[in-house]
Amino acid sequence: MRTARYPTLVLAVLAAILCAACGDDEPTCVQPGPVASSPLVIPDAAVVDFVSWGVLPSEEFAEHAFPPTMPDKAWHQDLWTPEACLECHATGEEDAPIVKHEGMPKLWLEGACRSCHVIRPDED
Amino acid sequence: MPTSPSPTRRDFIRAAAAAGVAVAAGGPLAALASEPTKGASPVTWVKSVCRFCGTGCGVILGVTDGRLVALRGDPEHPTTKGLVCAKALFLPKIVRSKNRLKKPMVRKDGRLVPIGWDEAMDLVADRFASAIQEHGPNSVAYYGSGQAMSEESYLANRLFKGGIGTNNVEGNPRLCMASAVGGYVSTFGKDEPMGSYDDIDHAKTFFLVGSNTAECHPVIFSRILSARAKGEDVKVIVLDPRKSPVIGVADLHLDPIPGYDLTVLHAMAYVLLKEGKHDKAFIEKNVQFKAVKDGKPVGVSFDDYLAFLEEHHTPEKAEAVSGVPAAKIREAAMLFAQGPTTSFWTMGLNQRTRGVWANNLMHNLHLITANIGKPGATPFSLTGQPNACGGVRDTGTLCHILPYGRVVKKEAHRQQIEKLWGSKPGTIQPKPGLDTIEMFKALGRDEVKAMLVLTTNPAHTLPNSTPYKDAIGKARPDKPFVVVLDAYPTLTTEIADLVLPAAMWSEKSGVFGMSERRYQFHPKVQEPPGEARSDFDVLLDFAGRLEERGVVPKGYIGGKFETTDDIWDEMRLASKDTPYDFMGQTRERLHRERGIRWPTPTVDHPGTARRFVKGEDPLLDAGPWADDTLKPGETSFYAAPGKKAIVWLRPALPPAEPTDEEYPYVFSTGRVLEHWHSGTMTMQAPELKRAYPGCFAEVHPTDAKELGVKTGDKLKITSRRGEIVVRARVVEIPRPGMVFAPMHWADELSQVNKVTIDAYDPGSKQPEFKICAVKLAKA
Ligand code: SF4
Repeated sequence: MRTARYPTLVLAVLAAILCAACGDDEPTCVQPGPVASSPLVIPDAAVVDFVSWGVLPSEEFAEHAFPPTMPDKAWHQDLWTPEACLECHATGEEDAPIVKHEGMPKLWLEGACRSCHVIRPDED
Repeated sequence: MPTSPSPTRRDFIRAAAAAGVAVAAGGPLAALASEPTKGASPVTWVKSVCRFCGTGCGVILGVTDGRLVALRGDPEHPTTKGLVCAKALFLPKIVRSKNRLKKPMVRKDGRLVPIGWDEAMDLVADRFASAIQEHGPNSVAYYGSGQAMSEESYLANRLFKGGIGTNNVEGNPRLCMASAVGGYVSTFGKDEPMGSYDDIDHAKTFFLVGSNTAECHPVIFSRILSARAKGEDVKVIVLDPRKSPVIGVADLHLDPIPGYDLTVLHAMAYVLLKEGKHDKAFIEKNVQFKAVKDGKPVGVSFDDYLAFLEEHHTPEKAEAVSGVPAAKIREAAMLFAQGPTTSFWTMGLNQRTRGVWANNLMHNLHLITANIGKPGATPFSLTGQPNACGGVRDTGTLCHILPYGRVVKKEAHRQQIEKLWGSKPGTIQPKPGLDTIEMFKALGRDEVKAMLVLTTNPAHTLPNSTPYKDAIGKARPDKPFVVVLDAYPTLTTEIADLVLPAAMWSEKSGVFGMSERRYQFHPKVQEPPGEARSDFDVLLDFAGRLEERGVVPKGYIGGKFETTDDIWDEMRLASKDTPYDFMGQTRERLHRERGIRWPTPTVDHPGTARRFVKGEDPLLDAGPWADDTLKPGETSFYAAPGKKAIVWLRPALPPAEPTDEEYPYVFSTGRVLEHWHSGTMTMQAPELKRAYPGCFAEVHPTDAKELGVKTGDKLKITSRRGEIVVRARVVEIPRPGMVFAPMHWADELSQVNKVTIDAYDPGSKQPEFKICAVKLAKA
């Protein structure tokens, strides 16, 4: 478990910066979250909800069609188990956006996050 | 061919409904048709299959106004359960890339220039017909793909073998899966795994051999992660000279010197026998032992097997050869014995000059411990393409085989297929045609005069590629004619004589057969761009023009089929009363269901999770292999001689090109998660492209120190055949003495196959991409 913890305010600012930096690729399935001290909990399976999956007139593809990419942080390179990713992305630790995966089956949080979320080497 | 206008959304829905596709019409998919965000056009969701690897993930395609606008995993899919990987998720961008080929192009004065379809097809037919008339049917060749639909490969096979009368019919599965086929056939009598992905949920031990499952079959890897998360008693053993990402879940890693792992598998068998972990009753009933003496297989006894292992392959002897500590070999054997054990392997075993033997040795471990035919217990070779299994292996679209387990050498098999196809008796030749490497060598010698390449990129993917690129493209007097059908520009289209634009998977309807014997229908959901046409359509057109020119009998194909639906019933008939029997897989069922695993002899049969097992395999209940003496759960390897699978005593011979003083490093190639094969598709998605913008080579720190190389430095990798220059990555991933580079980039300095060796397995004819000797230098 990474040990660095930040005050909530700083976290919120950093998270906002992080969101802005992600630009087009920023997911709606993650959101900046407060540091949580509770143990890791994988959300239950939810009903598939594609309500917002339309195609806006200005867009070529459906909203949320593509999985968010990951900034090229050193620790992202070698994360191949969900436990490793959720250490931060379920807790908000290290300012990590909290994964929600709304509407996705639970199994999708038991698999390898790297399967879908590719790294952006040009940004860190 | 005229360009069809894009259908309206209403057209699409009507067409999809007519095709019987699963447009949101009740059940969970109904939820997907909910109203979209205000102002946005709604998306219609259609059941389909991923275009990429043999995992065969079920997907749902989001379509708006006749455009593919999104893709998601299909949560209702029985084995992939909604999981997909990034390659699939970016398919909408890949399919709709502006770089798609849209017009036929012919080479004139060294340049590709546009040509009309009619003129192009006449040119193809003229060149093939004149070659056949002047030089005989073996002067032409077909080189297909595990990415074509089953109906397309079947049609090409039918045209070339039963119409033109040549067995020069090959495909890129020769490069990736042939040794797995050889392993299954020589051990069990017929090809394809007996188990299924269901076994992942029941296995307690996973044995991953030469498989970077995390990157090359990410959904299988996720399923293993999920199984592991459910219980601490699930163990993972990895046998691989490279610490690929699967090491992250390994309880035990064995890293042999590349090419010296056969002895490790034998030594594990030795430990299992010595420790009494074998199943005597199962062996007695279901297994026979064979060795090869004076070039011929001979039956030997269990004691002979034990003596063979004792003499050559104790853990200590294996350690001396492979570098894997004897203690680790013992530990691996004992974990394997705990079972139930599912083994997954792929190119690390198959792309070898001893690939068939390596496959045999995997089966040996499962057979002696009876880790087979039970939930969680299966030897399973994963496939790299979406339709290598169903499309090429099963339809017999290789130079030595015929549909559904038949071989060209057997007269009865030729006669059955000639009758079904309506070929003149004697049309199918009894001698196998040219295998892939020999076919391209013959092209280079101008003995093959005309070649059709369909949905594959041999200029990039053949080993020792330089002479084969020359064979395809080098200008010379009377150069053979090479026509390529593809959806994207490739190294092969760059040098071909004629390039035809092809429809992508979502632009045509057909069947893919993935690794677990599941045949899955994918529907057409959009029109192809420009003038692109489906391979099936082009093959039909080609056949008709060959009939007109008198080199294929009139009416042999022409007028018989219009769509892939039309040919499917003949394919089902071809499978009848074979171990592949899928008579029960009607088109209507495939439209409706999320794939069906053969054998499926009747329309009411749900499909088979485990072959050769009484109570599961319907072919043990009725038909030529019915056996009422078996109790439910008992095994009968009915396709093998005497219904007994074969444990082979294979020598552990070294690779074709061991290292030496001049070339002291082992070079190995592979893939990264974000890209697929020659990268012509995945590089079309900006997110995937930028994830790995260029080729790199992994070098172990010990070697890097000796070479004076740091991460980011340019590294020259030179073999006896060619050289590349790529960026070094100094990482403790490859074994010391080994250098690894992925295969996806097409620029001159990154084409890894300029370096690889074209030596091949004498049984499977599959080349040894995974091992050759190189020297390294900072560039
Ligand atoms: S694992 Fe293979 S079949 Fe599944 S989504 Fe990825 S590439 Fe497609």
